Amino acid sequence: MAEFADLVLLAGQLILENGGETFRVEETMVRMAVAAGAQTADVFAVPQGIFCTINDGVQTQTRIARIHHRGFNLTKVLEVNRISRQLSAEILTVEAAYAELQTVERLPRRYPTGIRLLAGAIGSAAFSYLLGAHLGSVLAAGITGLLVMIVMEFLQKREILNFVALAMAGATTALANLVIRQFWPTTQFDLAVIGSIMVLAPGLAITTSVRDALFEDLISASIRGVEAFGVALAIASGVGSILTLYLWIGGTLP
Amino acid sequence: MLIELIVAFIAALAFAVVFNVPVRYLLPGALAGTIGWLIFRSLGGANTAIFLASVGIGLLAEGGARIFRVPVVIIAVPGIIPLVPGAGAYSTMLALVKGDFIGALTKGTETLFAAGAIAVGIALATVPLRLVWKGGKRHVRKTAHARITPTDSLKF
Repeated sequence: MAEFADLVLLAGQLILENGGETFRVEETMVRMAVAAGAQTADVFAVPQGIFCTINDGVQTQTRIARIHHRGFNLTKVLEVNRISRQLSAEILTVEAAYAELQTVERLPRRYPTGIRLLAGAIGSAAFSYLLGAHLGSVLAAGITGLLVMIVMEFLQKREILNFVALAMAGATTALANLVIRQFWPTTQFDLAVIGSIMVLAPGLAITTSVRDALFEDLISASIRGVEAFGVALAIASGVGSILTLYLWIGGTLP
Repeated sequence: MLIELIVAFIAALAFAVVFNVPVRYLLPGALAGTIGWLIFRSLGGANTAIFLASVGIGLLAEGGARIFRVPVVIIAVPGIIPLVPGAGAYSTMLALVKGDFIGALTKGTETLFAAGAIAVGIALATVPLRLVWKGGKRHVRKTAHARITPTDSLKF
């Protein structure tokens, strides 16, 4: 029955790696274990790892998984959710569920990279419009938003540390917007910058942090809260360093 | 106002795509974002408005999650994106760059409260639905001590 614990662990790992809340990881794992026929199941999850002990009546199995990289792929969370429900409803057998989880693990991103980049650009433009930007600044935000997405995509592929990558993306957008402002002095520099960095904003980290705190997973809540704060700080330091340099060489800011 | 709502819809939709939300569930998130923006704008746009808009988004997300049987974050995350205090964070940073620490403190506190309003709003929204709608097996205990008896283990 080695597969048993592996199945449960893989499910938890997939949810945690792709932006699910901690209570969802623990609940899904226990539910799947019970559905697969476990006698007892204990799970402890924090954003950096999962510990679980499962007793199948004959022997106790303990597994630990270290989570190194976390991203946002809500499709995978949804798929694991579905598999867990189907396992509980006895539509899937343990073997079938394990096979399905492995296909989910290999699943590529939901949308091709080009569409994600475009969505990032459109999102940036729309956000700057909501802040009250003119049409020209909306366009600038869209273009620099696309640039930010490309830079992040490139740096993530090279496995640069996340906070460093965020700072570099922030610096890129500040630089690009300064260049745009040189050619069109009427663009609202600040609104364009804000719009373009919104794709990096820790919206998911804030939401999951709050929901973790609500379900009394306080370790996870504080880790994600610190993460959200760190992301904001990293972006700000990237943008800020470029602006400081700009002021230092004699530029003026609104 | 109508244009703004359409733009809010587009913004939430675009961010949902960035977060890899499946095509079938793009619409609920985008609608939550639009309704959140409607509440936010019609209440004037202060931190109180952010709070109430987040409560609205949270309620929609909780309800939608139960109807479509999906995780709450799939609807809540695109929904809150238009409310995230990006402008406040930027002006805090700008004040720091310029060495205006009093200004940074003012703006920073404002931004922090705006983020807190979103957080508390989303959290508060889970309460009423949980009171009304227990949803059967939703409250599975995290440690499932099922059917374990001494004779059971002796059998093997």
